[in-house]
Amino acid sequence: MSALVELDALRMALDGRELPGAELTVEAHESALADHAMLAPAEGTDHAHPLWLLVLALRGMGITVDELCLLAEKRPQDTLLFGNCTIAQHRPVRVGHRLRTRASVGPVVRKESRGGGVLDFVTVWVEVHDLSAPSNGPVGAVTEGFIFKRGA
Amino acid sequence: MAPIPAVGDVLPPYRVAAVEPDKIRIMALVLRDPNPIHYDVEAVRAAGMGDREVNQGGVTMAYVVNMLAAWTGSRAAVRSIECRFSANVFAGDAVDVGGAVRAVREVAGERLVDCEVWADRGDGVRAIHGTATVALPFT
Repeated sequence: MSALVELDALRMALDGRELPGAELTVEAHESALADHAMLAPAEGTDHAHPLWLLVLALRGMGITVDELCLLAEKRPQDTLLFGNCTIAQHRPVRVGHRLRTRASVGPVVRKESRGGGVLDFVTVWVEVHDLSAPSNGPVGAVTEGFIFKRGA
Repeated sequence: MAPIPAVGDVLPPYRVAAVEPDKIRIMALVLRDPNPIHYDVEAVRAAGMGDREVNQGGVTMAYVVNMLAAWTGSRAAVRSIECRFSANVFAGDAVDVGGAVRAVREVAGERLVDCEVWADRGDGVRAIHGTATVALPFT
């Protein structure tokens, strides 16, 4: 069984790390399917559901969640939890528009759980830009709070 | 909706009668989330989490957005939402979404309403708690 990664090593791997980001589009069929699955009534506009900002953030980190787990040295006995999420929607995401994400990792924080275990908090920040109107600033930003619950 | 919300106003509640497993599966594709707890009951059992598919936390958050969009009349009105995930929601669970007005501000010609929001499972366990800000037109 592998040892728990030292906090200094974790910070070296993750703190402030710029992620590749990605270019993405919310396709009309995916928007319709997601609306159906999220029980969201159609609006008759090309505005994607605001939760698409989270979808774009997860798709647009430029690395997969599995790759994030590798960077965080997640072991088989560790559990990844999605602890919190903040979405800021400055303007609606438009279905069919080409979007660009910029992503980075915030400071890693290690805490002790109530049960005496180790919790590593890893925050990923993603900004979403609409390439058809780049001068208007980002359409939104997402903060994803991942928690690595370290097993014994 | 009242034209000018006041601090303490309760938002019109939103209820999901039962989370459907097939909708969890669709969202696993949309989110490109390979975690089998969203589509494979055996994986849920192996993880010691019971015997029903686990709804994605983001989707339970989407129910909160749905409540805000229904209240304000548009998705575009939802300016921010911050949620902490404290319990899992499973296939078959009812979800009761609620909120209350905590502040009303005027910023750059917009009326911004800050709300406390939550989503509870049908058994009363709180799955999500957080805050949201919506923009309302002056009427």
